[in-house]
Amino acid sequence: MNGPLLVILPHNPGDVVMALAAIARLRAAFPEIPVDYVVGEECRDLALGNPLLREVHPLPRRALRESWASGDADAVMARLEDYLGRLDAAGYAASLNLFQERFGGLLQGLLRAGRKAGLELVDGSQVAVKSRFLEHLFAVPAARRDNGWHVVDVYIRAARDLIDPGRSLPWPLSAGRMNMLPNLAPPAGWDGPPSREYLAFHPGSAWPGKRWPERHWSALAAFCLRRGLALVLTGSEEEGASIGRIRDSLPPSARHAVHDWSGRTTLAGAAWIHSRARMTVTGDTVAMHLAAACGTPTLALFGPSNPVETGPYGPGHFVWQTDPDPPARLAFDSPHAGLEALAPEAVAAFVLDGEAGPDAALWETAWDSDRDCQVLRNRRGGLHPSLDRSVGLMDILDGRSPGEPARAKTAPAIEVQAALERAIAAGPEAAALRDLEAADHALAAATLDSVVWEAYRIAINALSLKDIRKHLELRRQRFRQALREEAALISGKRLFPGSS
Amino acid sequence: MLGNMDLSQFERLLREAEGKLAQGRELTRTEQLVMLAALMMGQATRKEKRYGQN
Repeated sequence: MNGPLLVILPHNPGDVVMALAAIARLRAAFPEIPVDYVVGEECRDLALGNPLLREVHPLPRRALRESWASGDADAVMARLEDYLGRLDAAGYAASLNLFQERFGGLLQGLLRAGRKAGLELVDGSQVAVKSRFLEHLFAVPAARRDNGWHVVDVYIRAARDLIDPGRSLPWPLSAGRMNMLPNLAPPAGWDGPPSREYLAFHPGSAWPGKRWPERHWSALAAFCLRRGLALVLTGSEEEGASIGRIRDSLPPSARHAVHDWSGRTTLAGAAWIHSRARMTVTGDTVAMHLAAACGTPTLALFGPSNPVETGPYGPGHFVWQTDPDPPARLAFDSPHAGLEALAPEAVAAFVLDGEAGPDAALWETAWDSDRDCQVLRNRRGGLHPSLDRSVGLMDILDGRSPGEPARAKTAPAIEVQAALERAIAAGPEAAALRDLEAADHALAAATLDSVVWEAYRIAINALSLKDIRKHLELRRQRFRQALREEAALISGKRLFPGSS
Repeated sequence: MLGNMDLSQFERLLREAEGKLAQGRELTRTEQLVMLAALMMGQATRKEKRYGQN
């Protein structure tokens, strides 16, 4: 590829950090390719000045809003055209849109670039997916537990498909920890403990289902304070009340060692705090991504979300998830029983002494050099269930041999085919999806089969109902042959009647 | 570029573009720009509201 690459992923700080992780590897593989970045205002301080990036293009949202507020629609359009013109002037050889909302596809569709991957507005009529890896990510079902790749590894594959589709060049993995946020500065007025002399806690989350209970945080903090450790608490302004209750629950004699920085930092300031911590303990939050991106050992306490997909990225981090196989439909808006059940005594033993029993629901990040992706393993070496279910699919998408179909185990395959056909014919009504999900899991458990399962993923994707048919048709064109062969091998049944 | 477009015309174009998109019809460049501008102006994510003002 001759020329610069533009990456579009403007919003959500955790997503931006994960994009930076992918860019770090891309830059290691292709240092000669300059990478520019489109970023939203709330994330700009994570990107501006970052040496991984040549230029950062903050979205001109404020300027557009000012024009709108003054009633000047022409000025809105002119400012947008000016922004697009400045991007085009860079002469991008390629653009990679990682933002899975219409906005990203529209922006990319309007820009000039030699090659494009990601979500793209095709012919001005529909948002279609142009990278099989993004397609995979896009097709992550409502049951997010079933995605087997970390998002960063999906981003990396999307970039590799764009830059080096023939995979003719090695993509070296940087040894050790990568620091994706090297350009950090302390928050204004910082008077906390020196580097590596504190633990950073980030107790809050916008989602109740991701929050470890306040009383557990209080108990963990008390254990740490008794050991003479200082604590720095981070969080948003809205989380300040909860963090205040945790702080106030601690013995008054020890509170001098508790530094509450909730609501007092930018994202970059919070990242700086986590970058200097001895360890960060957090839920599934932006703080987890920030700490991991800085190479700080991170313990993430997971509720319903899938840590294989969006857990801390990089070596030497840990995920504690007492219920790693939650229901298909994730519930973020109510407290999570698995987090409630996670005892602070157990967490404290690990944080303070590195102790955890062999059966602890503790998963460590590791690198699978054979599959070229991050994995989560427990203390017995076992894979996280979400990953275990997905290995076959990952191999297929990565062009590896999918292995022999399980000819002998026909019943679950027939069942999932029938359920898939019902879902295609009737649309993804809840009943059909439940049948499909049950059938698919039976199939996966019996055969580890993945081809039909991929079609299933599409069928239960959390796309709007009317889009699923359209999406399925696109996918079916690719999978028809493989599915027909699969169906013929397993049952002799034609999966898609009428297909040639 | 359109000239002399007022806010109501912008909003009408946006509604038309949404309707065409829902029907799977092709959008003009102006309609794409209007939609992009609307999304850009309205795109205040939950996290941006939480962290952006710090």
